[in-house]
Amino acid sequence: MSAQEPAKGDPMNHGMLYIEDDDNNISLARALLKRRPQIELQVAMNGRDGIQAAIDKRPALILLDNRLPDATGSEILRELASAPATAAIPVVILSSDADEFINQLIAEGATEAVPKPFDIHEFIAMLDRYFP
Amino acid sequence: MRSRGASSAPPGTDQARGLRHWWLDLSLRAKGLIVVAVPLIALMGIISANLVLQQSESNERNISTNARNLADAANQVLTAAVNAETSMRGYALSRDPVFLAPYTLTLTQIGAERTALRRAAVAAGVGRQQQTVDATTGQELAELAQLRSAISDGPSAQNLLPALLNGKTTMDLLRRQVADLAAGPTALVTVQHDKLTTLQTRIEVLDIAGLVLALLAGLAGVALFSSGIASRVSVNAENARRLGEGLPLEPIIPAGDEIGRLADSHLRAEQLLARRAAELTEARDTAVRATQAKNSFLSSTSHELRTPLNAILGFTQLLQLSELSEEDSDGVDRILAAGRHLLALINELIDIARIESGDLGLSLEPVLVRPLIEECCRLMAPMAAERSIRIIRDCAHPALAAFVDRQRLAQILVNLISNAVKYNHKGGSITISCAEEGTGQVTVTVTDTGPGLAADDLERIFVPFERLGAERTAVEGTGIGLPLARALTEAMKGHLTVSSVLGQGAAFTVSLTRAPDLLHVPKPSPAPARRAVPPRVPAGAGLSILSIDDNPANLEVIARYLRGRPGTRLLSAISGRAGLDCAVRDVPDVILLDLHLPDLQGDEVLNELKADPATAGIPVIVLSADASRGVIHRLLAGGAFAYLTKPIELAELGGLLDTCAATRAQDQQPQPAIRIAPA
Repeated sequence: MSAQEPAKGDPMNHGMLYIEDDDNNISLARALLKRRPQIELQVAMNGRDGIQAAIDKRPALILLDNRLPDATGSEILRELASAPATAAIPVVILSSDADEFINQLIAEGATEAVPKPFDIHEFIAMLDRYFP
Repeated sequence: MRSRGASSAPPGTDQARGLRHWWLDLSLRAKGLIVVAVPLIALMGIISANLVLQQSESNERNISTNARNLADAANQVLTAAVNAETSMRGYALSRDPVFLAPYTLTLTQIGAERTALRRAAVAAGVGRQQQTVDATTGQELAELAQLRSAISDGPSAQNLLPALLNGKTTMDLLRRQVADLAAGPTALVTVQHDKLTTLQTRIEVLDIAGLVLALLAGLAGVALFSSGIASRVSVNAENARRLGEGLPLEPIIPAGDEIGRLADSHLRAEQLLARRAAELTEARDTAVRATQAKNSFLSSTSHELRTPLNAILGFTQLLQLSELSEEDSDGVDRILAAGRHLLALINELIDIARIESGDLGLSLEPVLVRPLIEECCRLMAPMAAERSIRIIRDCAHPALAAFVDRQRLAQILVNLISNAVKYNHKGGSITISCAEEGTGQVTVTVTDTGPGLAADDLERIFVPFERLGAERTAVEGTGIGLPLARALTEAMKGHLTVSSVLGQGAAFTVSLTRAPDLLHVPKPSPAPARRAVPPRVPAGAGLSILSIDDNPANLEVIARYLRGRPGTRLLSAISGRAGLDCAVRDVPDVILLDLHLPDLQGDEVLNELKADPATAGIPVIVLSADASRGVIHRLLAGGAFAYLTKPIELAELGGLLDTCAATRAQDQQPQPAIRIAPA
């Protein structure tokens, strides 16, 4: 089951949570977000911090890496879906994994996926869909 | 392993237990012999006792007969002697020779009678006494002969008296002797008779005892066989059945006979089976672990190689966007090109590794060939245009279909067309044709007008990293595109071959398994009239859409498309059963139903949806690449709302969703939007 509710419902919410443990990817995301300064980026480097940040900050969008030191993407998707505070937040998978793993996450409820390595224009286009 | 019987043996004395073990350890043949022999021996005893009795009776009869014969013979001799003497007395008194007739007759007969007496006496074992009788008889006859002479000489009666007296004395002696002679054997007969009576009594007792014994032995044999052997055999039969069904065996009393050995064999077979099962489980676990390890290795490799590339390509692209000198800009372009090359290489290597490990996860289904070729050509058109290469399509058969994985066939064709562009003369052309080949094959051929290949090189190009010198040219390539294309084709049970004349181009042919012709559905006109009718869905009042499709790629396409439609909610199920459950639970506004599901046929799912009042009202849009006109009619008659051909034309899907949303807003059942193409 998948929640398909882009964050257009609350145009005041510019929060985006990126759950990722790779420094280079975090730096790249920060560099890219200079082109979209209205987006407020919050980074969590493991699953537990990520879920806590999602509950505390209620971002408009969550970007999720599939391989984290303490959890898999599936586990985090389940946790987010089970908490009322986070169940409605769209989750975009950013993963270097093979297609079938990414498709699996879509089937498990992720909103969409941007496979890594990604084209930066594609990444920006994705952000623009959620933060118009 | 269970305990084997010792505890289940009934309590008893050591002797009884010993006897029981002795009996259980006896072979079946010995047991059978014993069971048969015991009554047989008893019967033989009875028969032999009877034989002895018969023999004794016969002896007794002989003895009696002899005694009777002796008595008869002796009496005959005595009677003859008495007759002779009486006859002589009459003659002495009367001197009339008439009285001599009995005497004369006696003389003629007595010889034979004496002989008979001798024989009877010998038979009765009283020869000596007979000799005495015979001597006395002889003496009597002699005295009578003397008397007769004296009478004939004529002496007076007084003178004859002494001779008469003498004769009477001898006669009395003879009488006594004859009586004595008969007395012995007669007494013996009595004794024998007594003995026989005793023997008869004993044998009767023996007969009864023997019969009782034989009867008991027979009963015991039957009891042993039925209660002992038969029950043990039936336990063994039960165990054989349990063994066949993999159930634990019934406990059985250990024994050394054939049944015991059979039971041992069952136990050994059970142990063997258990061992084999354990080995199989272990082998399967090992295989599962190996597969998991392999999958995990592939996925880790993919992940580990792509992660740094993301930073490389991402930052390089950012650099590209900034103000750079011409030299730096060229350098950045080269980094980007090399990075993309590396990414392509990684993707293709991982695909090859997957094919080799049998882990590619192909989803083979009937796919229309011509639309797929058109799609690939559209994709490659910009690259061809750059080199002024013309792409010519030559597909006469619009309904021609092959049994393939759509994405993978597209990957193969893109690879072949891309090669045909790269290894072609500027301004050349590429021809892509499809044809039916025999009955069961479809071929797609990509022909270029490039320099072609020497005969020696025709197979070398399918060897990984064998680029025939192209690595020293400006032609881009990973060196594993063709090996991968061939491996993918073969994974779909097809063949990839090449033919070429040096200097005149090359032709790559993909042969695939043909699927039954599909209904060719032309793409809808750019602005179908009915799309204009339904208004756009008001924001926030979006549809909930359930996709029942096992192919994640299709789901991805739909998910991406729906992102552009505000307020829509996408549910997904990857099997028919899960789809039905989800439909009942969440009651979506629209269901997108793939016909090819792993567990149920699409039409079965449709029928179940329509049969349940809770889901019967939900419009169902059927998605398939391969439905025939008949199938479509059946589905629509079965309540399907619409039918869409794969690959899905998203605008068309959008139109159908608009219709559903509009009718939902008016709270009424949507009218079926049927689209059937001309055959």
